[in-house]
Amino acid sequence: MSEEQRQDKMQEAIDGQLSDEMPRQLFDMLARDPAAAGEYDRLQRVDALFKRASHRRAPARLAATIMARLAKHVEAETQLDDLPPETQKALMLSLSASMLAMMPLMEAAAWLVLHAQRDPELLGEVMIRTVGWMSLVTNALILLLEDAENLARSQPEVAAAALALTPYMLVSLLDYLDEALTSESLLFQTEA
Amino acid sequence: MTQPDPTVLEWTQAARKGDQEAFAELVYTFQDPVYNLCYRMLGESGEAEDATQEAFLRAYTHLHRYDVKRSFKTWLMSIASNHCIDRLRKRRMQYVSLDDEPTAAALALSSSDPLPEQAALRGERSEAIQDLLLKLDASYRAAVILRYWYDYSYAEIAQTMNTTESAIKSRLFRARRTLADLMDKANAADDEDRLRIRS
Repeated sequence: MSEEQRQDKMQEAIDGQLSDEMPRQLFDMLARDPAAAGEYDRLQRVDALFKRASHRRAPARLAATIMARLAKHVEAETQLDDLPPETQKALMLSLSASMLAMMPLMEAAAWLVLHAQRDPELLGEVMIRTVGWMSLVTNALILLLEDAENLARSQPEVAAAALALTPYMLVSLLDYLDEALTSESLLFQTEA
Repeated sequence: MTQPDPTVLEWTQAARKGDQEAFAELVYTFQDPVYNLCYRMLGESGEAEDATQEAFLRAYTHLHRYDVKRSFKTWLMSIASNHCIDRLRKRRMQYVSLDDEPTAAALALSSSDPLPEQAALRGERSEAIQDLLLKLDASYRAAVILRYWYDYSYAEIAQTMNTTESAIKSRLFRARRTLADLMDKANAADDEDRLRIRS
């Protein structure tokens, strides 16, 4: 029996999934191999501990909170559909401009990844940091767009204001990128 | 494989047409298993509540994608476990990108925590199990939770986690081996403490 088969059999025995004749084969093997028997014993102890685990019940107010959030969500969706077409267009334009603003950041991330290829450790570090920035910037964009949507919903005539915010966001993104690149080049220098 | 329950099927079909009362029935029926999964995955009740809410909202928004031939519970658990894995990934990214402020979960994994086996011996089995779970990688953790708390078969876990049965077998085996190592380590530390007290 190969190592992989032995592991499969031990696990299936613990989970009660072995066919009728298999337990005997497994126990014969365990009797001949003390190391495997020790491993099986360790797995059984884990199984015994986890089988006694209790279930956590949901807090009493949870279902009501979910339904309240759902009602709010459905209402927001309906309101968004109800926005005047020109407001919807302004929001879409704002979204496209924001996506465009992301381009320098994407290019910088690609540049960093390409230049870190030689060193696996540095590549790992750059990947983690790049994904970290992306996550932060995406969250900021989502918040900004949500605010713009809310604004447009309450005062449709100021939807253009949402669009006007985009250059400010672009400047902030570029500042952030500049700062991040400076610290990243310091990292490169240190690694070198 | 779990067969769809006719009442649940009726509720899902009504909810698809926008019936919020039917969806409320689904929430009442499945809130406990979803919350337990989120709590076991995330290790913190406030975050588990938020993740449960998010999982149900996602389920409502994507009800049109639900295949009625499959179990609704398995589909819902799949949404919840994927959402928790995403949260854990994001939490790790934020921790790495911020560098200075360790998250509550990272603190919970620090070496100064009480050892899991000691906690179990003191009758705090539930906390000991949770401590052990939090030391597993997210996808291993999800497989262990679905196996032990929901008694899912390998096939059901694979369906929930959108992978193959052999991948699940391998994850479960590695997870159990890691848990056994952690328990052995805890036992050894416990024995050392006892010896120190005696001497």
